[in-house]
Amino acid sequence: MRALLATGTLVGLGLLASTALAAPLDGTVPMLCALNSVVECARRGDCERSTAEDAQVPPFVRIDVGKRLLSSVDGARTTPIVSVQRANGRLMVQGMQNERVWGAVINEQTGQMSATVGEDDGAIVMSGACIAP
Amino acid sequence: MRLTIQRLVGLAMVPVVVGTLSGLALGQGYVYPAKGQSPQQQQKDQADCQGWAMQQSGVNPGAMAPPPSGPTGQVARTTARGAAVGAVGGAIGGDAGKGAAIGAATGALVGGMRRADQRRAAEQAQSQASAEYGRAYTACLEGRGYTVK
Repeated sequence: MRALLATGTLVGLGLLASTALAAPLDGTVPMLCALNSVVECARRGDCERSTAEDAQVPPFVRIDVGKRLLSSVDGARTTPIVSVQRANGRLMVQGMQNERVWGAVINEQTGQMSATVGEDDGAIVMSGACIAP
Repeated sequence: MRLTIQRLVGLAMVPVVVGTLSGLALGQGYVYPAKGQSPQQQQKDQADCQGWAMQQSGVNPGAMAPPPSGPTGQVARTTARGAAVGAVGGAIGGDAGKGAAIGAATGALVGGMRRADQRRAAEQAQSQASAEYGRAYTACLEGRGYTVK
């Protein structure tokens, strides 16, 4: 009986762990994304590597598709998500703020993410990874 | 008594705030009363010249944004685009040219981002504005018989 209980507990924990590991990145639950590379490009075509801090981008961003909101972890900075689409295992979100457009594509399996922010005289290109904590 | 302390603190803060922004104009410069002006007269003249320099240059050093190179610095887009002295006011509130609030301080996530070229242009604009104020301040003090170095 004891062995049966232990086995059941282990199976249960295993199921929980696998569920947690396989938390969907399809927008059904909020995601946390970390930026690990930032490149800034001017209109004339020059690009240079930067950091989230220098570009004044939050290093971690929460994507809440349900609330249609992209925000810094502390919630102090936000931008609304205007458009959401899923295709071929990719989640795509887009928005606009202060004469800028932004967009992000997230691989629902790996969490790999690329994002851009465009304005009339240049752009910021970022890459990172997302999890569904 | 309380009022006196407040006045003293306020008086002491003026050169600190302005000095950090205008270099020679106040904080790091030396003002010598070449015509034997009293310390009281010098204090009054310096205060007058601060006001005059603000009026002439259109720059209010006390209201200027902190240097935008740091993570908390906020700059105006118009400033970044090359409008120098006149746009410094926009550095405080955001996009002065379009009247829209912009920047991390306003809670905008994407709107608060700044590219390196924009930051450099803003720094240059702020530096020019600061120098403009400094020139006006120096001219005023020299006109009143002080040697400014």
